[in-house]
Amino acid sequence: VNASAESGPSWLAGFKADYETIFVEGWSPYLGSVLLVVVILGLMISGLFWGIFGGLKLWGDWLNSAIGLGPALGLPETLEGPLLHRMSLMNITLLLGAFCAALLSRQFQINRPPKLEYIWAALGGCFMGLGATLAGGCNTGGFLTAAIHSSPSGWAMWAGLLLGAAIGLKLLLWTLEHIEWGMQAPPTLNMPASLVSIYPLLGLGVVLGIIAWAAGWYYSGNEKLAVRGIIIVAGFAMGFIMHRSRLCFARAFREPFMTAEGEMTKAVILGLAIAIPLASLLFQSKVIDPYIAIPATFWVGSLLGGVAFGIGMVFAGGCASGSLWRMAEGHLKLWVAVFFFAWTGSVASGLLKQAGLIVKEVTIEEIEETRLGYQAYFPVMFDGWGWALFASAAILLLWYALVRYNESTEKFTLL
Amino acid sequence: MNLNSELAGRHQAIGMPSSHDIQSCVKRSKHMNFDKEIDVRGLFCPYPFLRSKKALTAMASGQVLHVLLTDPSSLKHFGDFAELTGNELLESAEKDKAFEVYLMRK
Repeated sequence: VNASAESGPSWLAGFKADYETIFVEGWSPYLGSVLLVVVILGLMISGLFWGIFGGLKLWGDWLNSAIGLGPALGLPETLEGPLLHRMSLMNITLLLGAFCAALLSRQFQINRPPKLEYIWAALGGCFMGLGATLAGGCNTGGFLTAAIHSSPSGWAMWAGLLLGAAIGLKLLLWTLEHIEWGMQAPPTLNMPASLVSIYPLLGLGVVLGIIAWAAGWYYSGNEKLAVRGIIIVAGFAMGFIMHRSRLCFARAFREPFMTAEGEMTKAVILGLAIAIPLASLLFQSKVIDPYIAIPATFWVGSLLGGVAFGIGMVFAGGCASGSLWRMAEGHLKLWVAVFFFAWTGSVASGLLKQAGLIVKEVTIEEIEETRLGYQAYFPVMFDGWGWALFASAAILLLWYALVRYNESTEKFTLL
Repeated sequence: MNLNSELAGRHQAIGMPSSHDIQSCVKRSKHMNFDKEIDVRGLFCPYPFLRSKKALTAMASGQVLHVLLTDPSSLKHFGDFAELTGNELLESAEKDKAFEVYLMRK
């Protein structure tokens, strides 16, 4: 069956079969989700948290400064370097992790979509940029990380994402029936076979490079670089895990409305069910301050941002994290989506800040507040962890029940 | 490119010729009858699945849909979909970065 395992000495076959199982065949999304949570908790123990939008926005800020829009958007004269900015570095290493996984599995391939899909990618990227600005984060910072930090802002964005995914799907269906132009796929670009055959070696090279980079910074004696050494490893691991398990938040939100299939949704629910109680232990033992990752957007910003982001991710075919790992696999559609996501994110942030909507103020309770909401935290709202954990559990259970019921009945599908 | 050797094996098991062209594979796989066919090769997520589901919804119970696709995320996705929703995945195979799937409407 397996041609590559049949060549070479017989003892090698077992190793080759294991290589195929781990690095070539896809992992279960449940495994991917649990491993992702392990990395997220590792970040939290190190006093860090996972976010993507802040890094994308920095890339957009650099672009806007380069084309002279800096003053109009109120950008600072000097911007932090993309390799030193924590979220930007995490995005870069996430890309490298997914790229490495794509090489090891020999799945890296420059893929060109039909013309119309580029337009939807750009449009989707713009909606995601706007949505992430309003919600104070994308599907990771605004939803996943906020929910793990026991903030209802994550759940307000969740509600918005569900609504946005449904609206986006309806719009996409409309375009499917009314727009004929630009859906002809271009011919596939074939990667040279000699190059594909050395993909695993290139992948190994990426792993070694990452280890050298992370170790160099971690042991540099410079505290700032040491923290970034941890980020390099965490970002790389997340990109690797997400590619291997094809983890996709866009699919988790969209699919129940589209095909009723909820495998990815249930994987995300499982990940949150593990992460939320474990994170609460970290907050209770004061390992990390929960507020560092809670956006001041509950509930208006989170909900509206979720709707815009949900529409955007359906059109782009990927959320923030999903777009990044697909970029690294060679999909040009997602390069376009991420470009417009980053650019619009920077523009929208600049404009909304100047309009006074997302300017942060600290209240007498020492929490941040904007015109779009405040830093809401379940344990403060419910005066303790009992009801706080109950609230998260109840939403997760409701989500699971609706998705599982829908799988059997297709009651909520929009096709 | 060896995306999934297990599926390639199944491809052989159902008697398909190891041709270089997926189209010729299809033409020669007459033993697998289908009622409707859609070609979504070159399209990206979510289009392949969106079109497949739309086609399947319009079909009668027991009818078979044949899908040709290239999106790498989609093959496993079809398996999950079939398993969880009761629409039966009769056959799936991979050939030269393209996939083909036969789905029976529940």
